[in-house]
Amino acid sequence: MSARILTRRSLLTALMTAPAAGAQGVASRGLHAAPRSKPSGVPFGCKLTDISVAAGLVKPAICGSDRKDYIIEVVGCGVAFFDYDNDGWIDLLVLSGSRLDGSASDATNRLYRNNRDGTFTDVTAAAGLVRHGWAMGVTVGDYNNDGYEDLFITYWGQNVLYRNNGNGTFTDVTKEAGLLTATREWGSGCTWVDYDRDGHLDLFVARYVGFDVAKTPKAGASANCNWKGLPVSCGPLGLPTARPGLYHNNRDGTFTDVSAPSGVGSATGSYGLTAVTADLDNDGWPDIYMAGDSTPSFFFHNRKDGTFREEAILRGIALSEDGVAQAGMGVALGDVNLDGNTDVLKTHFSDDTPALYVNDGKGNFSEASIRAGLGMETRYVSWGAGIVDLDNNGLPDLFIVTGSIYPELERTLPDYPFRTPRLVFRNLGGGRFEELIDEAGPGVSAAHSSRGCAFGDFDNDGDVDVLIWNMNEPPSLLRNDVSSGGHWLKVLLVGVQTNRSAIGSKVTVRYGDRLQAQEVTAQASFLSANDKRLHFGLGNSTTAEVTVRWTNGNTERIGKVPVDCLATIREGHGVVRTDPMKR
Amino acid sequence: MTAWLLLLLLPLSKEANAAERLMHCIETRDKACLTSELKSPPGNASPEYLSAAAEAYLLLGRNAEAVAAIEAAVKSKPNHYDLLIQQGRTYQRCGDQLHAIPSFLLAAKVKPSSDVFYDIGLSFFLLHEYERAGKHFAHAAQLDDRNHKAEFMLAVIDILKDDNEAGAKTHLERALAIEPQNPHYLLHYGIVLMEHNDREGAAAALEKAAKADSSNPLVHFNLGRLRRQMDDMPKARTELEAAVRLRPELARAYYQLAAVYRALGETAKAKQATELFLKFKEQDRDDDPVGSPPSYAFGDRPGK
Repeated sequence: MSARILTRRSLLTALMTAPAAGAQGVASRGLHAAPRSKPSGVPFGCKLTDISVAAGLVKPAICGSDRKDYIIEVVGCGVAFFDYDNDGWIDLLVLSGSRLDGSASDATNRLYRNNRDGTFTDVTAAAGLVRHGWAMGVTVGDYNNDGYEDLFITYWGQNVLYRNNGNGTFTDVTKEAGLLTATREWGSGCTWVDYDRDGHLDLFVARYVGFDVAKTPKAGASANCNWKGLPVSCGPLGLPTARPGLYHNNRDGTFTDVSAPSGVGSATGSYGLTAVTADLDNDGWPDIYMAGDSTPSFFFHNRKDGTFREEAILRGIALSEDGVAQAGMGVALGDVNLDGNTDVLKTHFSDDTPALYVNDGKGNFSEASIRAGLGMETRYVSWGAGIVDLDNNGLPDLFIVTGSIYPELERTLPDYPFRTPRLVFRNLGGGRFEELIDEAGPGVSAAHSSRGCAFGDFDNDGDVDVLIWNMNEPPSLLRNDVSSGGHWLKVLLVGVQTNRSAIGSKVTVRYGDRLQAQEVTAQASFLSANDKRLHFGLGNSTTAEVTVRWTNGNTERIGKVPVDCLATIREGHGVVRTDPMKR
Repeated sequence: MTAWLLLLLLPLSKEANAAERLMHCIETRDKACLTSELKSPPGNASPEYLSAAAEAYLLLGRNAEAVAAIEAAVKSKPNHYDLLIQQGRTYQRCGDQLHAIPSFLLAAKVKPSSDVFYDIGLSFFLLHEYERAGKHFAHAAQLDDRNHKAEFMLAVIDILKDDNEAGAKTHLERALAIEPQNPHYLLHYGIVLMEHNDREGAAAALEKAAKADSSNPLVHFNLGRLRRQMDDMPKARTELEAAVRLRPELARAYYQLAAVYRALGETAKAKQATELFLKFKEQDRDDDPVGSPPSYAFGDRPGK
């Protein structure tokens, strides 16, 4: 697939050494786009429209100046869909960075309460979440099992743990929790994970690069500060890598750093970004997958004894199909081929294609990107992503947000614009996808330089909407209007013995002759967190049979549940509530 | 390298016997023979003998003596086209392009041939001066439309300098029109076609390359990765296993093999292949010489 690399590799033998001009700070394979297939002509029953202004989301999220001198200014942030006040309507969290010149003194993460009428109210200050700094990623989970979702937010600087007080406010408990760090780190991906299945959420934190403005070369200063022969901000290649960390929940509001004894801290050589947890090998224990930018991605296999072994290369999920490191940014989990196993979508830089890894059920992966039809899209830098059934036809689609990191490039290289559209790959079945941009609505074709995105149903109308982080712009809120008439089911898990957020639990739904699995995650997409209510499009099927495998390994067969509703399943008690929602 | 050149010169020399003996050693690549012959040079060495000696020293890796010998030969016959060419190539092989280019330019004054412009292009190429190299390769191709090596190097430059795969494809097609069975050209043509997602075309080119030279591991490696892309795992496995049999340290092939074994459900073998990938990956660098015989950089004249 990366024929260019191999062509270069062999042709360069005449040269004996590779030309320095070929080096750059980001791994990009120089992949040529595969030819586009003939359009299927099948109508797409989903239209995504950006309603952010009408919804009241008008404050920009900041990340550096419009001129990007340093890598800290290009990476951007995540967002979250989560129900902070347990009113059954998901709220929004939009993270923000800052500016190196200090000119964005009012930039802060923002919490927006859902007014249940398509609008939102900024409640950041009232919730106690005003914070200035360089936020990156968020993971949402009830770490103290009190019934309210808490937040952990990574920073370039000090990461922050916010305890949800259950009264609409949050308290920064980082220090009490023992999560203060002695030095300035660049926290990036993070995910709650109950790795020892004790019912209490532990915490995995990825770190991006060792970054110090004073020690980082300026644009164009070295081979790693050039792209396509033009000077650009340096990195990540050429900057120090940083090790991930794992923190054990002591069940008393504090955490212990177990990075070393768990083996997680021994994994070196990756610029870590998005982190996800899921039981990828179906052995009943949650594993961790971390996208690596321009370096191998990591798969931490849970050895069931408090330790992990990094096995990404062994399992075929570290590198490209040709064994080449890619610029791994975002990660989405889902069951694209409806075989009950969790597959992985990882996004990359331009001149490369997103990677779709199909799981054999034992945690061994085969890359299916080209066969799936993703190889025709290499134009954009891809970030947040989801495997979500956008048109409720029973086949999970792919949604990806994009955006360049080099604003200065488009003047010289018009093929690499800074703002680029979102991508939808609709699932045609049989392992094939078809790219749709204009056909998926104006919210998809609109150009922004986006980073994180989250998936959830903010208007409770039985589909999947999308919240998107845009560079130095207000976020986009894409309302989905489904016209397919397909049925659907949402499942909200409530753990009892398992952690209350049920992170790491897996729901399998049989509908018609299909079967689809989804897992409850605490981070996915790009440094973002999705609505915890799992959404299954069911197509024409009017029945759905549900099985839950809880994080502690117990399987609960729920049986048939009504469709077109939200089913709340309490561990050990089956369906305790069904809400038809407003559809 | 240029046995024909030396043979042309031999009848002119008084020390024909000494030069002939040296030529024999060169042809047989017998290092002991070369060493022995060079130990007792004729008193007044003729340019013919010096030309043969230069080649012999190169084969023994005694570059400084090779340069001294060919410079002495040129000194006694300053405007001899073949000696100037040999002098340029000797510098070129010793990595001294700054002396090679003037020598080739003097030869070009005597006879502005396609070959000499190809050589000038090659020296500029080795200096990473792709634009000037490209101009000379283009001139070489213009002077002789059967100079397939110039076409091949133009393909190389299209990729290195401009990322121009389409241009490379055209030049490779021209080279293959002249030398349709050249396994090296077929290999690279196959790779370029793979990049253009012409899998059937790539398969045809690579199968031809394998037929023409079944000992090149890179041909089997690329056929293996192509078959894997085409979802033909059994064939992919056969080709990739052949690649690592031929070159046991070819890390890239182990990575592909691991994926193929995983797809075939052979997890133990996949694990073993992954371990070998990890073991060898540091050695499998971008300047891996597999698949590009040095003769294309420093080699003989284009076939006519």
